[in-house]
Amino acid sequence: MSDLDADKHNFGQLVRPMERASLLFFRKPRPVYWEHLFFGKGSPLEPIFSKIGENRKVDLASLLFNLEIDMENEWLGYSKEILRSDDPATGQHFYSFGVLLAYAYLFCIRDLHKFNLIKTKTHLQVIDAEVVLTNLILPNESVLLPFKDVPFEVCGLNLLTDSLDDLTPSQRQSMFAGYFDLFALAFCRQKLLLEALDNAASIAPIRVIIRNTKVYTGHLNGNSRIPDLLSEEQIQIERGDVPYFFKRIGDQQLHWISSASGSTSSVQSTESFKVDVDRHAQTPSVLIGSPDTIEKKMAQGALFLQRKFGSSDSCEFSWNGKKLLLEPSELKNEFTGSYFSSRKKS
Amino acid sequence: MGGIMKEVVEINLDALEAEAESFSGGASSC
Repeated sequence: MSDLDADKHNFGQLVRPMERASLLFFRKPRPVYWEHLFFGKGSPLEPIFSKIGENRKVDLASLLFNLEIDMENEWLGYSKEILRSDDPATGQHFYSFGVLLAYAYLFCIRDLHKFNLIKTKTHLQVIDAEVVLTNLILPNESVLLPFKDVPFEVCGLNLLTDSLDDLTPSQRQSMFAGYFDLFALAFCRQKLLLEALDNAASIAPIRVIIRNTKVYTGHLNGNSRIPDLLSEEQIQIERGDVPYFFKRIGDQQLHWISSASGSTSSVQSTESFKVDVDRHAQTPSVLIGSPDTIEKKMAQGALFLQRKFGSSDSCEFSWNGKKLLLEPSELKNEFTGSYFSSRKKS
Repeated sequence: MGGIMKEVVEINLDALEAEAESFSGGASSC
């Protein structure tokens, strides 16, 4: 069995830096369609999110849609370098984190660990997005926050602070301000969003990560063998790749690239992964089918964050011109009249 | 919209966390 290079997929293909017209680009031998749709300049979603936040005077779209992407074909694209800043994190960085957390949760974008983000002078910018439209339960599944075996040291928030305990009340408030501003806008523009996504939803491949890459590394090192390896994983590992699977919207099948010429095959049986695989590559109407769906998602995510942060803060935000009150276990939205509670019944 | 508050919607965070954790970690090389 060959050594595993963590970044190799589909017959040894790697993302590589390259120069184009004296500018640094990254050649990505994988689908970049979704990266463009959710984070690219000129995306059809960009005008829908182009609005100044209610709780901070910054255009929400400017914190999201900054990638310059050229799509050569379904399996190859180029992305222009995003400049990194080593300046200390500001209130706006925490606000942008809240915007991004809400956005990733809303559109169910996963795998946003810190190596898939860049801290710029103004915000956190996603630079790699392959796993989208998964029906997520909670916002930490994006891995912008720690989730399962993704520790704080590699989650997205680690680009702004060293631990959850180090977050100040003011930073938490900035984060929630961004989170609620994004959801308030999505709530109001739900029809526009659904229409734009339905029009843009393509059959471009959407990656499905059935096991974390480090699980494969452990398997290869002999540290922790995978007992239920699928035959399609075994074949890819033996050829030196990190196993790569994908789905297309509206297709229940999980696929993989089975020949060097790029032909694809279906996974014969997803076995214990079936429920997880089924929730990937959802149609947009499942995820943002109504304003009520969006509001409930916002509430359960916010109450989860309060618990995750161990926060006893009570804060008030503006939400579509009315008050939104966040307490440790309660959320009251005066715009809709909704009242959510995560208080345990005695 | 606004005005009278609707009935309280209970959010069971323990159940949601358990459900989320039943799925894969979903993290590439990191």
